[in-house]
Amino acid sequence: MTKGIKVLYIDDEPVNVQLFEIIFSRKYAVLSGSSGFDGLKILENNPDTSVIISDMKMPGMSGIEFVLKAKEKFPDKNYYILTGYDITEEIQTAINNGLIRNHFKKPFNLDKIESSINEAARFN
Amino acid sequence: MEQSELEKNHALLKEKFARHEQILIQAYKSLKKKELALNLLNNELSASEEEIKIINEGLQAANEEITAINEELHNKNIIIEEQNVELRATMQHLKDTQSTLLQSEKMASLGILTAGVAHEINNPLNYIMGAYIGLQNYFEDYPSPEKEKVAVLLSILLEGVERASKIVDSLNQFSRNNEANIEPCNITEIIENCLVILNNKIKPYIQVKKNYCNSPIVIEGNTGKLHQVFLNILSNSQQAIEGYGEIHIVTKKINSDWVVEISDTGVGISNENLNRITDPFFTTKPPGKGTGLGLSISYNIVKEHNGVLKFKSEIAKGTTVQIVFPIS
Repeated sequence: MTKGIKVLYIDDEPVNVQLFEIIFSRKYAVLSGSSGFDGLKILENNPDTSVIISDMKMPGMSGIEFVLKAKEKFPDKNYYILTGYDITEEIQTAINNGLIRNHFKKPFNLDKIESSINEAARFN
Repeated sequence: MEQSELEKNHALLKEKFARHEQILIQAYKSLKKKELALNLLNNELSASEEEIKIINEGLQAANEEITAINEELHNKNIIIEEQNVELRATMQHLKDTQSTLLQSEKMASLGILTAGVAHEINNPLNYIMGAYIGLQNYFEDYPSPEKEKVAVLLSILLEGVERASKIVDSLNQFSRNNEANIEPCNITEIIENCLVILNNKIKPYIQVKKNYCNSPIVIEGNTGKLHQVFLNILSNSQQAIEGYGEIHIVTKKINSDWVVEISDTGVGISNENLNRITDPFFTTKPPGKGTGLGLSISYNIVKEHNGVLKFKSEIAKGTTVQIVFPIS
């Protein structure tokens, strides 16, 4: 039932990407990339993606910068940040002004991410 | 009487008169001279009197001036005294600010360090967590013949990740030093986080006994700063204990206050030092071991949270620190 939900995951660390694919492909259609630039291209080709989860600290373009750019073209999608950092002012501001729906901490909590994806997909 | 005798008498008389006249003239002259001198003296005297009057007036003016100057001096003295008091207050303020600055700088660099370390550790923890979930899913799909062993191994993996993650989380609390950030702070959780950090110093010599009250102690405040307070107090307790000992943590509600008591069975603090332990830069620790800022900063942070920090101590018996927060 949830298999139809397209989730895009962006992280510059290949291990994280690999794990995300292995775990979440059981329930969702997972797309992935290693940078914000990748992410923008994937979204162009997959406009039916409903949930985007991005790492924060990446070379070239940070997670928030990627979401800002992506949101210009795809304002109705659900964006999340998954980061090894504790919540920072930048992330808190992004949550407050609605840029991202929430932030997840590494090591990730499977239930929290799954329930967020399911809830977000319902809104779409 | 004979003519000649008469004449003789006459001549004598004449002579006598003439002599007397001479004397009179002399006397008159002398008198005149004296009168002149007297007049002169008189003149001089009245001149002197005038002079004295002028001098007197001058003296009076000088006197008045001195009184005025005296008054001015007195006023200036008061101003100087006031300035002195002000200066002393400024000096104290400066000292406090300096210590706060030093401590915040220390905390800032600690914050940057812990945030960096946390990020670097959280990523590999994410690997392990991901692999754990992946393996769990795998064994669900393809059950192992040694199902129980696999379950134990998996649960150990999870516990390891969760424990490491908890340590990183408590480290992270120290980088949260947002001044304006007022949020609900759970004091019991804060104490537990500090114990996690001090764990390797406390074990195995020190036994920590806890008597927490049933209701959660939550106050409005700054989580990062409150972590500093309890880390300072608990690490003082730990450092006070030489060899084996106990730290006893009690939390309770008394009337409209939350009361936290942290007691140790350490070396104790002398009466004369007890009054000074919250002074900035006061320390009895050897050079390099303590800055003398911990309790001074803690005192100010507790005060910022409308609380009170109190100490009781007895040499060779131990110290009890009481932290009282009004229930908001």
